[in-house]
Amino acid sequence: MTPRLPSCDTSELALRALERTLPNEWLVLETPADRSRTLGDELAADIAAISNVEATRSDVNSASALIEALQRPGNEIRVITGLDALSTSDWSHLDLARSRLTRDGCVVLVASAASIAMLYRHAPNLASWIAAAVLSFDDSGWILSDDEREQRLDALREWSGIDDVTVIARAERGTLPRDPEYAEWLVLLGRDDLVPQQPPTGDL
Amino acid sequence: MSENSADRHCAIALQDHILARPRDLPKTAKALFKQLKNTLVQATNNDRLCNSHNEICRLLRREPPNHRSTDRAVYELLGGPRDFKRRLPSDAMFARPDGACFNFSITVAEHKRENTLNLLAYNFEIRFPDNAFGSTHGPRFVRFDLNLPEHNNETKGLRCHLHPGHDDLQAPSALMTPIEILDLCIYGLAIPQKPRAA
Repeated sequence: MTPRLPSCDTSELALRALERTLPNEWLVLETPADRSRTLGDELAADIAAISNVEATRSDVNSASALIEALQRPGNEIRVITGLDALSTSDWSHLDLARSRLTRDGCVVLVASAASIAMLYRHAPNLASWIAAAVLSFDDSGWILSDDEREQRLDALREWSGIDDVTVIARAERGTLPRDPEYAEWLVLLGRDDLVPQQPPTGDL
Repeated sequence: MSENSADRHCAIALQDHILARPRDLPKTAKALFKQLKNTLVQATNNDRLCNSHNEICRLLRREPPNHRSTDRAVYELLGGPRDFKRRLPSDAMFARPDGACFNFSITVAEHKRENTLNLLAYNFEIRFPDNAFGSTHGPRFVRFDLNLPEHNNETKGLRCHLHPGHDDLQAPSALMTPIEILDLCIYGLAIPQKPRAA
C-alpha cells in the first residue's frame, strides 16, 4: 500500500517554504494536474502576503526550460509548474545535469502525482534532494473536526439554555433571535439554509 | 413626535449612516478566510501575537455550507473557541504580548450570480487582563457585534454595535470589515502604559 502523503494547503506550504533558509532546499506539492498552475500562483501570492520574501512562478515544458528557470539569478523562492510536459528522458537528463539545478533559494515543485512518480523513478539522485519533503494539496484541514464542532455546539447550548431541535424549530417559524451566535449554530447544524436571507447587492 | 420616537429616529438615522459605509470585501469566503489567516500570520511574524504558526492553524477554522443553492452559500469563519464565561486562559485564544486576547466568529454569504460576498453577522471580542487600565473597575472586554438583518435591535439603531465592558451595555459602532476589526484587535485597543488617573 502506498503510504499517504502529509497534506497541507498553499498557506501552510508558504510557511514551510519560508522556514527553509539554507541553500538549495526543495519542496514538492502534489496537486491535481489541472490545478498546478493556479495553486502555484496562490502559493507565490501567499508567500508575498506574509513575508518580505519574493516568490516567482515559472511554467516549464522541458528539461532545458527547468534548468533555465532555476539558473536565473536571484535567491527568491522559485515555484515551478508545468512539469507534466516533461518526458522520462527529460527527467533522466535532469538527473545527470542536476548540478545545474542548484541555487541559493528554495525551490517548490507544484506537480501532479504522475509527474512526481516520474521524478522519483527517472531522476533518483535529484529526488534525494527532496527526500521526504513531498506534501499533498488539501485545503480541508481548516474545516472544523467533529469534536471541535460538538464543543462549539455545547457552548452555544449552555449559553442559550435551549437545544438544537428548538433552534431549528424557531428558525423555521422565523422566531429565532437574530444574534450572530444563532447564525453560527445553524451553520454548525448544517441548516445554513435557515440563516436569514439578505439582499445580495451589498446592502446590509 | 414624542421624545421617545425622536430618540429612535436619531438612532435609526445613525444606523443608516453606519450601514451605508462601502465595504471592501473579497468575492469569496475562501478569499476572506485567506486574508484573515495572512493577517494573523503577519502579526505573529511581527511579534504582535504570541501564537505560533501552528497555533494559528489550530485556532482558525471554517465551516462550509451544507446547502449549496445555486445563488447562496453561507459560511462560518471562526477564530478561537467560544468562551461565553470568559474563563479560558489567554493562550487558548489569539493572544497579544500585553496579555489581551481575542476570538471571533463571522457569518458570510456568497452570492454566486452576483459574484459578491455579504457580511451577515459577526462577533469579535477582545479581553483584557486584570487591572489593565490601572483599576479593578476598568473594562474587562470589548465586543463588536453585527447582528443578522431584522434583529430586534435594528429598530433601535443597534444592529451594528459594541459592548464596552458589559454585556448589557451597547453603543452604536462603525461597521467594519472583518480585516479592519481584526487589525483593531491586534494593533489597536492598546493597554495604556500609564493609565490616566481615575
